Amino acid sequence: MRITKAEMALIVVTILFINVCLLVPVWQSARNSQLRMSLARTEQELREREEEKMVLSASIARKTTPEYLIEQAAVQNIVFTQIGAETSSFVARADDIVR
Amino acid sequence: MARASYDDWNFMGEVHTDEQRVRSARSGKQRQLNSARNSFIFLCIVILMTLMGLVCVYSASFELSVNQGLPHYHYLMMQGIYVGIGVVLMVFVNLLKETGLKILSPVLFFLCIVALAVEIILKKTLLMTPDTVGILFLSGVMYMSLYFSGRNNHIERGRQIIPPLVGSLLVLAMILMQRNFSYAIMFLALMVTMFAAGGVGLVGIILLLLYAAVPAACMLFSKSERILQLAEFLVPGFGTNVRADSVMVVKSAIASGSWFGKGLGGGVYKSGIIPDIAGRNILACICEELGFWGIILIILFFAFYAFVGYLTARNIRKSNGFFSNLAIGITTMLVWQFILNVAWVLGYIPGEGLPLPFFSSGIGIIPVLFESGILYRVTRAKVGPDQGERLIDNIQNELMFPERYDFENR
Repeated sequence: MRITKAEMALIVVTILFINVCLLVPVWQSARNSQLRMSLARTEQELREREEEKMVLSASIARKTTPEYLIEQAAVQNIVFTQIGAETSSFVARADDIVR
Repeated sequence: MARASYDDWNFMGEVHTDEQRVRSARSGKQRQLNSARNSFIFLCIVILMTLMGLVCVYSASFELSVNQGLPHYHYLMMQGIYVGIGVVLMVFVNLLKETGLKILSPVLFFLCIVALAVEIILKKTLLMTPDTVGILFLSGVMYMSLYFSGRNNHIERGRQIIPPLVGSLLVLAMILMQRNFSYAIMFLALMVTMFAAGGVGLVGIILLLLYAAVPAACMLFSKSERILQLAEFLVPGFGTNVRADSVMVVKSAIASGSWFGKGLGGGVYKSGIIPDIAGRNILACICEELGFWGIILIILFFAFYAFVGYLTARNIRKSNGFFSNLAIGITTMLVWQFILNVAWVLGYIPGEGLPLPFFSSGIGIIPVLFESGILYRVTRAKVGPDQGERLIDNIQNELMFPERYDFENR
């Protein structure tokens, strides 16, 4: 049985095609794995940011309390003086306008 | 039947009629056609196994790449580069003439001996790694093929066996000095094959085994830790066999593949549970993903490879002893490597293990493709009449047509 060059080329191309077909699901699986890993990393980062945000919020909340204000005033040697109503002037705020 | 004319008689007194000549020419043509077909089938098997190897390496390694923060195709790309180098070597060796291969054989063997000597002196690893040890085996096969073909694969006198015997024992001693018994056994098995192919009798082979076995046994039993390692391997539960755990996981991975496997890329044992999963242990990943029928397919590929290799060796045995010996040696080497890898993965033999030819990742694919290139070159060799037939034809022609031959000016 003689195999012509065209038949040889066809057989080689078929082998290549079969292997490319085998490679496709593996490529998809690998890409899926990489995306899953990337998603897990992003979710982890998101959790860390969330945690940082909560820590910052807690810190802001603590710093807005009168106790903290008095404490810091004592530490920085600041004396509060009362402002009379006739000397004070109101400045409009954005949320006031909305309301 | 047509009467034979004077020209139909050869000097041996045999009659060659026109019919016989036509039949002979036809059978010669048929042999050439068969040879061309065999070489093409062989090339197809090599291409198929190389490409399937790439797919399997990719499938076994993408989890590892992703876990290491590399692109998922990192190991595929590396393997592709190694395959590219192997293909270049394959093309190079196919462009070489027979003389070129004959010159290359002793040079390669000598270089390997030098490399082994350098390893021993500097205590650095050059050749004795699972990936590169194939070059050493190949050099031994090439040198022995050349030596025995120079004597028409027939050793008449005892002293003719001395050079190959000394060469083999020297390399064996150098391997044993680095305490690598599994490679020493593999090299010894190859040398026994080459001695048998080269026409060395049973006495010569026993001599080789005897000279190799005695120093090996002495080296094995000279240190207590080696005896302990052997005992750990032979007696389950004795001591701490470091590979016992990984073998157990490998076996469960193979069993989980069942008949049809989990599909390419669907394996779960490759995510860091099995060590060197894309290298020497790739069989576990293949079995898990392709199942029983997948591994049967791979065994069939190797069986085809061996069949074409040995068939070629038999076809050109009489016309080209060197190529025939090369075909026997290279085919045996690849088949042995496959069997030893399977046995090592399943924990039936100790040692460092050898990579699975065509399938394991790493530079081990380069010598495998180089060897396959040589075997392809051998399958493409012309299957002519044997040396005896050629000699008879030449003498017959000289006697029948003396005017064609200028005897006086010879």
